[in-house]
Parts: sequence; structure tokens; C-alpha cells
Amino acid sequence: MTSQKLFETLGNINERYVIEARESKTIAKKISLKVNKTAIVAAILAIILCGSAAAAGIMWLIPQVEIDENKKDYSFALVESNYEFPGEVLSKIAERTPNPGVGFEFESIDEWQKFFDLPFVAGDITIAKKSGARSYITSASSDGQFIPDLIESTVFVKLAPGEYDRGSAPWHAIMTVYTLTKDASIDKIENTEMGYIINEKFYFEPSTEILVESETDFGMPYTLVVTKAGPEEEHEHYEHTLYKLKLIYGYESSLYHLELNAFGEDEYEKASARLKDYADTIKIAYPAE
Amino acid sequence: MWDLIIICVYIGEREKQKGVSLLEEAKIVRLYLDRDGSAITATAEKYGGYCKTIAKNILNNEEDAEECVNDTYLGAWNSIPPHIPDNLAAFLGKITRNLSLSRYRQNTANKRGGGEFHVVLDELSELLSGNDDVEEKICTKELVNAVNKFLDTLSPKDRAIFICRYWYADSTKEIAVRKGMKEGTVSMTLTRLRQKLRKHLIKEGFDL
Repeated sequence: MTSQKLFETLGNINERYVIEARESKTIAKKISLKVNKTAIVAAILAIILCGSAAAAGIMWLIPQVEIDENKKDYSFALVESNYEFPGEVLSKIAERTPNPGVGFEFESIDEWQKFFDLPFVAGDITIAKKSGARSYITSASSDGQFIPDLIESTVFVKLAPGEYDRGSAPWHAIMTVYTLTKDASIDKIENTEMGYIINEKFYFEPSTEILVESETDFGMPYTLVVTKAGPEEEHEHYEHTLYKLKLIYGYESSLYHLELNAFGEDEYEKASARLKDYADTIKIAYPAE
Repeated sequence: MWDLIIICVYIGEREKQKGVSLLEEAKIVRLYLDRDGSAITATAEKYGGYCKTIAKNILNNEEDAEECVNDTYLGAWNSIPPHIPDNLAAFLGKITRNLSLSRYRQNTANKRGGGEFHVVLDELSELLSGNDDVEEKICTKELVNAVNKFLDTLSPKDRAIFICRYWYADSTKEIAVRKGMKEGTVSMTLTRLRQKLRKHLIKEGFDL
């Protein structure tokens, strides 16, 4: 076989990968967007110092979102309470997880809720077909005992078009739920999936700002953040600005992070309006019996 | 009828769209299906730069690249319908890639052209045993499946680097700028990925 023939053959690989690579090409120079570790550590300290807000009857987590103008990044934190795994849940996890950091996949949110015995806090979204919930439980233990400290669950969701974009296709978004457990400590957190997220670098020129800090009709505080990335100058066909919108809210020990992308000013306005509308539909669903 | 098909094809694909909205893409496909000549203008406007980048990466020649891009529009016009692409960008990119490769072969025979694409081919030759008889024995479909399987095992970042180099024929410098990496690191990553792919293909029973 010749290298030309091999190059030609590679032209038939899965289109999904070609598109995925093209998407990474659309996004301009890579400047790291790091979640501020110091802010996370400070927030964790706040947990330890302030104790559980749940005990005081406050069930909301107030999103601690801060923008660092110099680093062009933002930070968010889990504050006020953390989750204590019921013994039953712990044994289920231990059975399925001989090693920390293993992923769990659930067919549905119902299944996810039942497994972790956690509420699911969401608005008028539907779970994208074939998505289920993908969860990672991280832990560390010096004596070999498995002690989970952070659950990170990701689910692909769809939001129906809102008032401003009737007739359009549904919005596709990613919801990530972080649940910090009671046994977590600062040094463990830094080595968990959360630590990975903290260090993850995003492929765009970031310019982050807080759009809205408000609360839902239900009384739950939320923050809407946008990170903008300009079109790449050297490739004239990428004509739209990318807007990464993130709605951040929390309940009990979990922090919710709903993210969707919009392209161009028009779509961005619709998407931010849609996320604000979504926030007002948020409800708490407990696991079905 | 066509509306329904288009909706079926495109529904739920919004997250794949970067730069060109879902509706814009669907509208362009619709123009092809309606045999509306403005399909070509719309394609040139939205995807002209994208296709030209691919052609130029392979051909390293402005004039040849322009011709290949124009032929891409003609190819799309002749294929849609009956074909309805799942993703118009990938579809057009593939046509451009194939046309550019044909032109490259022609140019090489005439001793014209050159540039970075020679290096891409040299790199790919590392995966080959140098036995020309092998080509006859290999089922392309199975080879593609094996490569897909390999790509599945890579991190999104490594996969994007691999595809940018061996699908889009991007230069290592261009990849480095985009990924915020040093050019040397990109080259190292590509070397590692080629070695990994070679091992994978051998394991899958391919001796190229």
C-alpha cells in the first residue's frame, strides 16, 4: 500500500471525528481557562468553618462565581453543605467500584437518582436520547478503604425552543452535577475529577463575564456566566462568535452546571433568554419510590 | 416530503454545528434538493474558505486549490439529490479532499506542487511495510473500521490532532497555534499516535 492510498483511505473514517476536529479548528487560540484553585480551596474551607447550611434549614447553595479579570477565567465553588452517603448507597458503590474514579452509566435520570439516593434539580428539560447519566465517583484512602468524596455526573439534555426562537430545533446542552461528600477533604478534592476540571484547558480565547445573578421564582439563587470566543481570523469561513453559556445553581450538597453553546449574536440572545426562562422552571425531583 | 427528510436528518444535530447554524445548513441542502442554482453561491459563501483550506493544504497551489473547490461545488450539485448528507461540511470536505488528492497525483506525475503534504505522506509511510502487493489483499472497509476503533481509544485532544494532520492535512505549526502547544510537542504527539496506530493495526491483523 502507498501512503497516498492510505491517506485516501483515511478519508473514509467516521464523519463524527472529522466534525469534532473541525469544531476544534473553529475555536481560536487556546488560552487556558482555569477554575481558580484558590477560590475552590477557600470555598472548601468555608464549608468546614461554617458547617452545614442544611442544618440551618437553608437548602440552596448560593453559587460562588467569581471572575478573574487578569486571568480571564472564572471560578465556581461548592459551599455551605455536603452530602453524606447513606450506608446503603455506599455499599452499592463499593460493590460496583473496586477502584476509585470508575465511571457509572445509567439509562435514565430515574435510575441515577435511585442509585445515589439524590434529588435531581432541573427545569423543563428532556434527557437526550441514548444519553443517560455518566457519573464518576472519585475517592482516596490511605488504608485501601474506598471512601467516595466527589460524584461528578454528566447528562446530555435538550431544551425545547423558547419564546424567542419558536420553530427552531431544540437546544442541546450538557448538565454536570457535582456532589461533594462529607468525608471529602481539601487535599482529596485537588486530586479528584474536580481537580481535573480545574486544570482543564479550553480551546478558545476567553472573555468571561457574569450575565445575571438572581434567583428563580422558586427562590433558588443562580448565576449565569458567559464566555465569548471570537472567530478565528485566519479562517474566514468561521464567521460567528462562540458564546459558552453556563447556568450555575445548587441544592443541598450538589452544584449544577448547565452549559450550552450559541453561535453569533442572535443565537446568543436567544440562548441566554432561554436559560433565564429555564431557571424559572427549576423544580426538585426526588427519587421515585 | 423533502422537508420531513431534512428535519429527520438534522434534528438533534445542533451541538455539532460550529460557525454555521443548523438552519443555514439545512437551507443550503434544501436549495440543492430544489435544484436551485443559488445552492452553489450559498455553499461558496459558507464553506468556500473551509474547502479551500483543505485543498491548499494538499496542493500548496492557489490556482489548483481554487479549481478543486469549484469542482467540489459541482460534485455536490451532482450528488444532492439523491444523496442527503448528514453533515454538509464533512460531506464537502471529503469531496474536496478526494479531488485534491487526485490533482496532487496528477501534479506529482508532472513534477509540480509540493509543500507540507509531502511530509504528511512521509509520516504515513511510517505505517507501511513497503510491500506494494499488500494493497490488493486489504479490504479498505475493514481498514477504515480498524482506524475508527483506534480513534475511539484516543482522547478528544489527541484525536483532533490526528485528524487535523491526516484528514485535513494541516501543518504541525497550524495545529500547534490552535492547540496552544509547541510545534515540537505536536510532532512528538503525532509520532506517538502513529506508533500507537501501527501497533493497533498489526494487532487487528493488518500488515500494511
